[in-house]
Amino acid sequence: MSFQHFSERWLPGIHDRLQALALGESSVPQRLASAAIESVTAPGKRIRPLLTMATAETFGLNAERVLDLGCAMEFVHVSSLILDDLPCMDDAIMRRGKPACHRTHGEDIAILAAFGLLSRAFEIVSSAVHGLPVERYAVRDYIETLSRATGFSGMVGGQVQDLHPPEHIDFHSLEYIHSHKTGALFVASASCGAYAAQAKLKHLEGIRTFSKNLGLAFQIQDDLLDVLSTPAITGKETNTPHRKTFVDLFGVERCREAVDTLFETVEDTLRTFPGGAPLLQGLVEHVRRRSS
Amino acid sequence: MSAGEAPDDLKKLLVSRGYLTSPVGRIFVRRLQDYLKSGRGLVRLQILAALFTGALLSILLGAAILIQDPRPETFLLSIYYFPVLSLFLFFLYLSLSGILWAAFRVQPLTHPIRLSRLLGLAVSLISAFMLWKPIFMPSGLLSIPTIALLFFTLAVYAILTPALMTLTLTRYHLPIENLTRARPWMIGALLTFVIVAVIAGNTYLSPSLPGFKEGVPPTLSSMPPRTMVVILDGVSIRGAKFSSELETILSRSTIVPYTDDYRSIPAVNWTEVTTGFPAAVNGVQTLDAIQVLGIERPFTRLPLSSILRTLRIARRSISTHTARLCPTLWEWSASAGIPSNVVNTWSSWPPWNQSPRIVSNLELLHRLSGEKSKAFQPGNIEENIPDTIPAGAPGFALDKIALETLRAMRENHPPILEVLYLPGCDIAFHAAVRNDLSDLLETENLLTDQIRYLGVALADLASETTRVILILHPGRTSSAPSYLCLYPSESPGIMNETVTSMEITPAILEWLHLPVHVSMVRPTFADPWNGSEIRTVSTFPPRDNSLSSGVRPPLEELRSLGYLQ
Repeated sequence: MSFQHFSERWLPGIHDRLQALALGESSVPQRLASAAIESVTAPGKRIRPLLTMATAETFGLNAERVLDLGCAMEFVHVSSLILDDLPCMDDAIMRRGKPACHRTHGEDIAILAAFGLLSRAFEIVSSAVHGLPVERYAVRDYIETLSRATGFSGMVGGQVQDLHPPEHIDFHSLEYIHSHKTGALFVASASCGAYAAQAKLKHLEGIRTFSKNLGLAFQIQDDLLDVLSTPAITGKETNTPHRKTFVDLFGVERCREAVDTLFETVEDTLRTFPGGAPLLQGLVEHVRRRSS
Repeated sequence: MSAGEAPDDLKKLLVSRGYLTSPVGRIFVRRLQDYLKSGRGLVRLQILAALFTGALLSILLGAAILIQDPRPETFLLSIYYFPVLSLFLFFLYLSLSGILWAAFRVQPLTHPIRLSRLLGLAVSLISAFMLWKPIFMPSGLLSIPTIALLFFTLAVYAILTPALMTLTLTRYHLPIENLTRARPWMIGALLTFVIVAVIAGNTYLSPSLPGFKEGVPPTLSSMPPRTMVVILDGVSIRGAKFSSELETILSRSTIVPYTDDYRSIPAVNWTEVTTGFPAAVNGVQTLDAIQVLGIERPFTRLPLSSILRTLRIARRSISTHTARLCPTLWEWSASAGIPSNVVNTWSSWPPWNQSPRIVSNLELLHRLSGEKSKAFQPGNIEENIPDTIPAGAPGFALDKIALETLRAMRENHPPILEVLYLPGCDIAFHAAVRNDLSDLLETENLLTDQIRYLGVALADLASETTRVILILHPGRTSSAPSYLCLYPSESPGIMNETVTSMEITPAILEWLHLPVHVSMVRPTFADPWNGSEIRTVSTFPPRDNSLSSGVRPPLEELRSLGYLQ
């Protein structure tokens, strides 16, 4: 199955499942529920859930069995976007072509919705794993991976560095920001898919390398799109002063070169997987060609 | 950082942060890291690494020895080596990790991981060097155990370096992603390439074993002129000029310098000179052998033999089973029907056939000691040895009795080829150096007198022969060059080109109108005697096995192979 077919098949399911899983079985105040549902169902690329599902499928596990796991990754991502858009942070106006969550529902609700979705993600992971094989990897591995990706050594750490960058920002500080803000969740999403399929250790390492490189390629690509595209296309707009990006440091051409090389590394790594991992190759190609 | 830097900078930076790399090395390091999670994990890791590398080397060494010396019980050696090597490696790893911890505790290093790699490589090479000496072959080329050792170096490096890196990472609480790539694999690949290249080179350069095959006796193209081969051991070309007779002979000779790489090991040296094949091919290696527990036949050479002997697994012994493989020049000649008299030479056992008349140096030494030897072969030629025991130092007396024996054999058994070995000067000089240097001056005077005596005697013998091939060998302890002197020559003088000791026998075979074996090194110097048509054969002359049976004393065989000297 090509990635095109794979995503066409699963994107509607992901969308529906995100909506179904967002609130859980408990009764949630209407304002909070609306904020959460609107945030998770806003149009997005759903790269992370697709990454989890395609990875599991690559290593022989039916993608459907990790649908919830993939949705949990998306919840983490959406919660980070809501927090990222807050006035105390990026003060974003638009997100995914719509007004940012705090603009519609207020900062208090946005913050609570973000934390609700984050907690929900862990709840889903812990319950989703029960139905998966556990010979090589256990619940602890999922929780540890996701916690690291979201906490101080992941998105939180990266966000702080992003908000308070060093005076002279350089490659290392930028890489730190992006590998923690973006890359960490890419790695976690792919790793959880590999855990679920009980991938061998050597393949797990390969998956980590693949997703780490993919994460940075994705981020540098974002920086390029910010320069070469418009908010109408990217769906993002902020009030904050322009922050330094890879493009500022290295220029458009070098960044393009770097992105190409990163994608080549990603593809090389995928070739070491069973059958050459055509599904993940397709996902990479999909990310490579994106315009927003 | 500005946008004006070199285009590759971004890629380098990405690599430095763990992008654009393969995960292979990190898998190994991550596994090692797991061992360090528990308190005793490091020791477990070291034990496992020692056992693994110890087993690997034991198997490699056992296999290498098996290939060189095939016998089914050799697998026992691997079992003996395993605990010895594992223990050694464990202490090596233990001490190294201690050093590393101590070094990093005092002062953090800028590139601790690089240091780990360097240390890993250094230790691998040092341990290889420690094992190298016992298995170094006198042939100068790589032996199979040496090749096994190179693989061992690779294995130690591959194990040790990730272990050291892991220690480094743990010490600094660095995330594993800091290892952009655990380079032992890359360096390992480089080492593998080097080893493969060395093996390929070794295979190409190694002296090839002449597939030993007995055939029909060699044939003569015509009867050769009467020839005398004299080996003067312990006499340099300068020393020879103390004798006016020898000086005259040299002035009318074509003199060819030759290299003898193993002159300090007479058994090796003279086996190569008289057979034209490497001593290793003939099974002549060392002066003693090593008997290993559970293995019947002793080894002439064994890696780590001193440790095995300390553990009472092995002991020194005298080999009684190794036989020279290739025929000597007089065995070639005798097989072809050339009457040959041989006196006091090396490599006179086991006999090849009945034609050469050989009086070995053991027989002469028996006579010098006042005994009558029963070791004569073939046939009873004891009558040729004079009853009178010559006076003088043992070496000089040996020369005198050898000369007199040759004269007697000339009368009783007229030869076409004579081979005579005169080691008196070497024995006397060697004894003086070893015993008391204050006697050196006196020894020099005695040596001068002896050379003069030898000059007169050889000139007398040479007058009755057509050609004299004089081998001037300055002795075990001298650094002076060796020469092959061809007398008489129409174009006397010293040749510029240098030949090897293994070119002497094939050259003599050609002058005796005999074919040479295809595996022999063909002589490269200009032939002053315009030898006959050059012929080659691919088989050796047939050996008379009945003469090797137990009637001969084993000591004779041992002496022939260089033992008991």
